[in-house]
Amino acid sequence: MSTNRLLEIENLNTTFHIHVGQVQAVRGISLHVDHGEAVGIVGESGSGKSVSMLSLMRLLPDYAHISADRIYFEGQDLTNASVDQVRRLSGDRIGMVFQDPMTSLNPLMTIGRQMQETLRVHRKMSKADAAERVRELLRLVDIPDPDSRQKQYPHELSGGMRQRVMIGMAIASNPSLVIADEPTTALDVTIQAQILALLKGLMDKIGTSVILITHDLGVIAGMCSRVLVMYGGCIVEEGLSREIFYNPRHPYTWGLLRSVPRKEGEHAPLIPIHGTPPDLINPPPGCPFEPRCPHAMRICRTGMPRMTQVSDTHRLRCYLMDEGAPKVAWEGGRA
Amino acid sequence: MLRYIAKRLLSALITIVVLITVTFALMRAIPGSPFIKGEQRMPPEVLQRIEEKYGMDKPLFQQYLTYLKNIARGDFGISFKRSDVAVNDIIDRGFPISARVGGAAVVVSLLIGLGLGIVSAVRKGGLLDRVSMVLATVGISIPTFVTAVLLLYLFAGVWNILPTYGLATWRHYILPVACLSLSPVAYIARMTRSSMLEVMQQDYIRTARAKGLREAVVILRHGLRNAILPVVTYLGTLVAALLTGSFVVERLYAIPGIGRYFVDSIGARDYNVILGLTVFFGIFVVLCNILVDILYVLIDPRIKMTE
Repeated sequence: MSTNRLLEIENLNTTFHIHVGQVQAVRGISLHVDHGEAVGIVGESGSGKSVSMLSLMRLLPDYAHISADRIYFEGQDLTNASVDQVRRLSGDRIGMVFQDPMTSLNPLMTIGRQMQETLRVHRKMSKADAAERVRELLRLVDIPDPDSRQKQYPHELSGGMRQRVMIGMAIASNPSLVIADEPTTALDVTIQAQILALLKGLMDKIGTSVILITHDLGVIAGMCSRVLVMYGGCIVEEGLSREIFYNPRHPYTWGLLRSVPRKEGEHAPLIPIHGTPPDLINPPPGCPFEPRCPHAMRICRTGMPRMTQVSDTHRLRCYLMDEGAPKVAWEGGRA
Repeated sequence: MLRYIAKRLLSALITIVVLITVTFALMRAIPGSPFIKGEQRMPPEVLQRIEEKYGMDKPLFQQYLTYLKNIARGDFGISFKRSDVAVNDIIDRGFPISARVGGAAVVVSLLIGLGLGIVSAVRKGGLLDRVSMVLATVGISIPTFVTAVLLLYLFAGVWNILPTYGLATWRHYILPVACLSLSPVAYIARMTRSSMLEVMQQDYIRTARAKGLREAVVILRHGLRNAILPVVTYLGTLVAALLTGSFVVERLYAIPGIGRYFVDSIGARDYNVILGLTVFFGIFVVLCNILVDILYVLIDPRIKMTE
């Protein structure tokens, strides 16, 4: 194991026990994040990308059952950690930014106080010190006039501003990892770019690692060096960004890339992926993408394809990678 | 803020005047007179003298104006039944007593109700949740006169461990306060529970947890404060209802409060006492509502102080 590993997760499973049965939201995913690295997790709604990170942070309701062979963070074994043990890390060593800044801030508390909370809990800062640090953070996330902004309530700020506050809160105690769960999805397109630029700038400035969860490949392209593609609770393909964008091997990744709108002038039609994501209550034993896969074969229904290594960094689960499989090539260019 | 309060007070004044007018009219619409009791007949001359003394020989509208004028000076008049007792005295003597018992009941209801509600919501489906929700249903369904008699019978009659008469020591307060609190506790517990259940699902609760706050802080600082508005709304009516005294409880526990005068005076057609107490209660309710509205603004910065 490289000493550069910040986070390592092996065989994480998350199951929700509900009335109608067990929802297998995350099915045996393994991933790692190195120091200073930005990793993107991409997939459509219900693919398990958010749930996997919420599992790591123990932010899921009681009826979620989480298990893993191994979870290591900063050399600390969290495999069987208690919720309290994880809470001590969250907000301090791991910061989180959530999707909807409109609902993710407490409406009854000034943003200054909400930002101070983290510092007062983890850093045991005095009120004055925390306030000073919050001013610094607000400047860091490009919020003008931090003194008066501190005293404002969330409803007095725009969506973009609030997301900046969320980011400021996440980095308050210089965490080594920031998990951003669809940080731009709820924002206007123009604001999205600003927020991404801010995240990227902060990464360079404070050297934190980032896990960026998104369904938007464009967001990943600009930020992440490595990408995990999730589908039906599994990682179906992973690799360096350029490997995923220029040499995708999994039919689902092809589908994702083809359904991204291209810039004007290129008249390639948008091709949606037909069908809907699988029902995770009783997932079929085979490849989760099989029902929607244009290249599906009989073998795809029999069992989960094993991970096939394409390069040191690039690997995927697909029967097309077998030697005897028909040769199907990715004909699309970069999205 | 001050302008808002001034505006609210002005509209409260209008409410009170309407209240006086309607009560005055309704009261006089009831057949009978405070000076005639059953078959007892007074000589007409005597009756006329008495009516003159109380100004009841004047036209109704003039009586009404006189009453308004007196009330504006804070004078509720004297009792028609006992001419040596001023309505102001009844209020001065009875209200502090009713308010003490009622105030204790408000505090008890809030503490127990909120506590049960929070625990039920956080440990949803647990033993305490189920027990307290059964208790809440019982508390809402059983009328005060049943609990009052039942408690009296058990604690004073059967076990003889609590006093039942008057308010001499703090132990005297236990039974009446328990009677008054039972249904408010039930209401508050249910309201807090459902409100908390909703709030604890919100994204900002997840944010608070992601910040690494202790669960108790998440529940109280981020959860309860957001969940408490419905309880505050109810608190306005509750305070008004409990502090102005309960007829049943004051009767059964021999508490010389203000609540029982109210019912007594209606039976006796004691116009001034009815009017005086109605207006007093009215003012109290209106003030409580204004206080609740101000509390709203203090709790939730999104609520603006316009209208």
